[in-house]
Amino acid sequence: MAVMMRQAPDARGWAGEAPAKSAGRRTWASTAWLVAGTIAIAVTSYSLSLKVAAERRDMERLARQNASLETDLKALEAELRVRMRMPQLQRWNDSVLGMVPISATQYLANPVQLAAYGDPIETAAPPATQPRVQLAVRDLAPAAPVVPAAPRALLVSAEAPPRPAPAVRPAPVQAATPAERPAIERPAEAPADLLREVEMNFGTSGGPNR
Amino acid sequence: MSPATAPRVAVRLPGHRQMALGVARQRLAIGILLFIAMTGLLGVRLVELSLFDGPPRRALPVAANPNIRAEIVDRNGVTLASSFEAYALAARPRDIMGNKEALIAALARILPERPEESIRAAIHHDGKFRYITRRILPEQAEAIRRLGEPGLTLEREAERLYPHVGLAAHLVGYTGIDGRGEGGIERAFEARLTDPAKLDQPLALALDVRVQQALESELKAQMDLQKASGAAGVVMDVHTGEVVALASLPAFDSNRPGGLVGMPSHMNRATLGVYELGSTFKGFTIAMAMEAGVLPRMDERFPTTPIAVGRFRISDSHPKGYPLTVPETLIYSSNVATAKMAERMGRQRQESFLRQLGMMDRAPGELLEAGRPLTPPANNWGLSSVLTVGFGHGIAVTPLHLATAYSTLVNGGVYRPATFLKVPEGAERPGRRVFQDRTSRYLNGMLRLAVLDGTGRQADAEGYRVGGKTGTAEKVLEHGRGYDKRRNITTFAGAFPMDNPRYVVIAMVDDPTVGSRMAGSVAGPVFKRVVNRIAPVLGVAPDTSGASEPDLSMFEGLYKPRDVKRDPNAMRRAAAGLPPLEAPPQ
Repeated sequence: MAVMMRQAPDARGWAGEAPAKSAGRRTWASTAWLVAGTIAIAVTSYSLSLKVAAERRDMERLARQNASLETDLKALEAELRVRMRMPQLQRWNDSVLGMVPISATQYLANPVQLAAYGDPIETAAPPATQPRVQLAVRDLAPAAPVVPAAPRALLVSAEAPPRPAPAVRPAPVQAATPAERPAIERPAEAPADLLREVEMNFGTSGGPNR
Repeated sequence: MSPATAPRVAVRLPGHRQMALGVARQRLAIGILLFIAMTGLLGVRLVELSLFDGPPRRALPVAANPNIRAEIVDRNGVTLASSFEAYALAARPRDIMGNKEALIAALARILPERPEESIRAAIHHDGKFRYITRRILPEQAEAIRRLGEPGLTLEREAERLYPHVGLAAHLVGYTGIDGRGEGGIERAFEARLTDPAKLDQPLALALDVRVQQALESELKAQMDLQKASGAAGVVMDVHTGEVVALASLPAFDSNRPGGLVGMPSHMNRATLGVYELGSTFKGFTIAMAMEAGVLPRMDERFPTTPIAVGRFRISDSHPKGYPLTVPETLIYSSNVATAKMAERMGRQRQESFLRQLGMMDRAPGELLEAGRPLTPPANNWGLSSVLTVGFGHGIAVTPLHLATAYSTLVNGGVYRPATFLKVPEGAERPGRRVFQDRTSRYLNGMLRLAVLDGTGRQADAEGYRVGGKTGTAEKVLEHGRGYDKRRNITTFAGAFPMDNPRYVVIAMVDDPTVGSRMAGSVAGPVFKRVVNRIAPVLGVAPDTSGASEPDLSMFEGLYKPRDVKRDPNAMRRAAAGLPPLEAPPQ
C-alpha cells in the first residue's frame, strides 16, 4: 500500500512536467529503507528459524536417545527378572541357602515376649536355659575352624593396598587362599545354568511326555 | 525533453500519451495487487501453520513402542510376560542382486548360530519368499541392513518373554510364532493385550508369584516323591473369588512351548481336567442337607452298615462300627451316612444346589480352557446317582470348580465365580447366596474337626487353624467301565484360618504310585507345607495359644476328640482361663 501511495506524487510530477530531483531522491531513499528493512527482517527470521531447527533437531536426538535408553532399560530389567525368577530362587534355596518358612511358634505376641529372650540385667542366666533367637537358616556348610588368616582374606576392602605380585612374595598368596570353603558357594554362571535348568525341568522338546 | 524523443512525440496522436500513461498505471496497479495478494497469501499460510497446524508432524515415530503387546503382571506388579522387539530375516530369492554365494558367506558370518546349509537353502529357494530365521538380535539386523542387499527383508516382530520360565505356565499361557496368544491368559485376553490404547497398561492378574511358587514346588516335590503322573492346585481368596495361584503339573516352558497342544504337559489340569474328587464332596452334601431342612439336629446318629443300591454296594473305607453323629460323619468320612443324607434330600434339591455351586456349568473364570463337568445324565439321575454324588463319586469336576464351591461353603455361603484378574482393593464382587451363614459356620467347625481328629490330620499346619477334607477316588479305567482299584486321585480341599476363613487351598495329586495312596498322606502334607509357606506371605498370623480356634460349642459331646488337649473347645477354654469341662457321659 505504501508503495502505491508514494507513487502518486511521483506520477503527479510526471504529469506536471516537473520531475523534481528531491522527489526522486526521496523515492530512492524510501526504497533503500524498504530493502534494508526487508533484509534485516529476513536475516533475523532466518537465524531464528535456524535456531529453532537446531533446537528441534536436538530434541529429536534426545527423544531417540531416550527411546533407546528405555529399550536398554527394559532389556536389563528383563535380564534381572530372569536371573531372579522364582524357580531359580527356589533352587538356590533348596541347594545352598536352605531357608525354611517361619514356624508358628517363632511369632511373638507382644514386646514382653521379645524382651524375655534377652539376658536379664541383674542375673545373667546361663545361655543354655534361654531359647536362642535364630534365623531360620539351615546350616548347610558347617562353620569352618577359625583361622586367623581367614577373616582377613574375606574382608579385603577397597582401600586395601594393592597386593604385590605372587612371584615376588609367594607366602601371602598361600595365606590369601585359605583351604576353608566360603560359607555360601556361588552358584555356577547363570546363562549356562539357566539353560541347564530349563532342560532339566522341561526337557528339550517342551515338556515331559509320558 | 531530449532531441531523441522528439520524433517519437511527433508521431503520437493527441491523447495517446495519456492513454499510454493510463495503461502503465493499470499494469503497475495489477502488479502491486498481485504482489500484495501473494504476500497476503504467505502471511495467511504462516498464521495458519503457526496457529492451527499443531506441532510439526514426523513421518515416523522416533522409535517403535517398546510394548508391542501389553505386559502381564501379577497382583504385586511382578512381570509375568513382557514383549521385546525382535527381527525376522527373510529372503526374496528372485530379487537378490549380488553374488549369492558371497551373500551366504556374509550372512553366515553375521548369524553364526544358523547352519550355513539352511541359509543356502533359503537363498536358493525356488519361490518368492522364504524366512531365513524368525529371531535375530538388533545388532545382527543392523549388520544385515548394512549389506544393502535388496533381496533380504527384515521384519519387525514381537518377541514374548516369560521371565519365570515355567511358573504358572498354564495360567499365563504362551504365544505362537506369529505372536498370537495360544493358551491361558494370553489367549483369553488377546484383544485386551493387543489393544493399541492399552499397550502401556499392564494386565494385572490376581496371581501372586510367591504363592504360585510355593504351591508348584510343593506339588512337584510330592509328585516326584510318589512318582505321580500329575498334580494340580488352586489357592483362592474366599471373599473375592480371586485365584491367587493355579498350578498344573507337569508344566512346560512358556518361552519354548514346543510340541503339540495336545500333550499331557499342555493340559491345564486345574481348569480343564475333570476328576472325581471323592470325599471332598461330603461337606457339600451335609451343608445341602442342613440347608434343605432334612438335617435338623446335629446329634442325630446315622448307621454305617453297608447298603446296596442297584449294582453298587456302599460301605465306609474307615469303618467305625457304631452310628455316627453329623460332625462324626465328616470327621470319619462315612460314605454310608453321607449317602443317607443325600437320599433324604433327593435328586431335585441335590441338582439345584450343585447348579447353584456352579458344578453343572463349565469351569468359572476367564480362561478359555474351561472344563465341562461330567454329571449323571438327566435321564439317569436315579437313586444310585443321588447316593454316589453325595460322597463325590459319579460326578467329575475340575479343581477350580471345587475351589469355588469350597469358597462358597466357608465364606458364609455366598457363591462368587472365580476370577483370574485382580479385583481392586475394597471392591465388592457381586455374589449369590447359596448357604445360610449358620450352615457355613457349622461346616467350618466340622472341617476343622476333620483335620484335628479325622482323615486330614497330616494337613494340620500348626497355628493356622486349617480345616478341610480329604478325598480319595479311584481312577476310571481308561478303556471300559468301572474303576481301577490300584490307581487313585488324591485330593485335599481346605481353608484357613477356620475362625474367619480367608483362603481356600486345593491340592490334588494324580495317581501316586510309591508309598501310601490315600489322600490324607499324599495331598494332606502338601496342603500343610503350602499353608506354612503362603500364610506369612498372605498376612495370616498364626496363633498357637488356642484362643483363635473356631467356636465349636454347638458340637460339644458329639464327637470324641483324639487328643483332649488339642480339642478346639478345650483350647478355647484354656486360653480364656476357664477350667476344662468334665468328660461328656458316654
